[in-house]
Amino acid sequence: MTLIQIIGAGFVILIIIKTASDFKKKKLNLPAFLFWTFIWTVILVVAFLPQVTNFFANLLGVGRGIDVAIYFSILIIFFILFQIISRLETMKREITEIVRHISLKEK
Amino acid sequence: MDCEKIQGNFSYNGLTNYSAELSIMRIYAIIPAYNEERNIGKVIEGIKKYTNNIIVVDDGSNDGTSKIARKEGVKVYRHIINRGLGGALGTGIKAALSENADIILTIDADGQHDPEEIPNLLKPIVSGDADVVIGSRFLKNQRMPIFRKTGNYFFNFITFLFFGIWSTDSQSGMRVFNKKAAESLRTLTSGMEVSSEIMTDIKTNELRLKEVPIRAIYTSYSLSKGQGFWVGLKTLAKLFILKITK
Repeated sequence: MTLIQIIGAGFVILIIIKTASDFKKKKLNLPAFLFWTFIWTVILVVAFLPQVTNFFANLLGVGRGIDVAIYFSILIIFFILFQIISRLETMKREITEIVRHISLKEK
Repeated sequence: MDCEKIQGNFSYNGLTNYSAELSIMRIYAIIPAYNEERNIGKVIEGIKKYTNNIIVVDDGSNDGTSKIARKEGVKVYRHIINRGLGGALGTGIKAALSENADIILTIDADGQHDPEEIPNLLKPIVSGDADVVIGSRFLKNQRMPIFRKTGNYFFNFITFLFFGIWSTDSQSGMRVFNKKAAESLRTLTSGMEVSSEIMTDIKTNELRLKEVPIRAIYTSYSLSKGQGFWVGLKTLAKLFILKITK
């Protein structure tokens, strides 16, 4: 086991614990909890058994397993980023609606 | 009164007719203002010649904008927090429509537009030739700081690319809408990128657009408040987001 695996695993386990506690405190709903637990578990597995990614690499025709992991990570990050931006925009619009409503009411 | 009704008996040459039509229409001027205590009074004074229905939307200013506007005796709607140009315009348009406005004019609060040009902008609307009029600073060849000229051209191009409509001044703050156009605008909520939002609505609702040349009065003050380079870059990013999240 390499040092990076140990540090990484510790980090991931801490995050999974945090996710679980957030779920328990109802800060996270069930789908979000399952999603994040799944993501972090996959990361944990890949950290210890990098060879499992080779299976996917062969399947997809990508050279190395670790490359597949990186490609997917980037894809997921962009997806989440996009979702955050789009949710922020919605929120900004909603805030404007509220501010507008108040100003039209007060006059 | 209905704008369509006017079409029949109006002609450009009959100027007496024009002023007669003008006097029975409910014209509303909307001034979105953010920290404009220095100019707002003068701008309101200038507009008063043409309409008494003036709405100032104070977009969360922390100076005396509201106070000065109220002293001028116009309607003031105040946003409790700053929401940006689009949000302020949307509030003003909504307020004007609720008061049964026939024609809605928007004008910047920084004094860069000359109120004397209001009649020219109203003409195509009153005559029924257009649903939307944009006061364009680029139809007349006039002096304008070069970086602003280039920046504007760039935004016109982007607007065309993203939203499929060409305007010589897509970012102009001096616009006139008839009732139909104002009602078909989506609820405006954005910041500086509102100009392109309006363009999209013009396109999708098949509104007739006309541009009328206007002069822009550039002072170092109004320059410091417009879209500088970084704001421009930010607007561009938001336009992009607007485009892909739609």
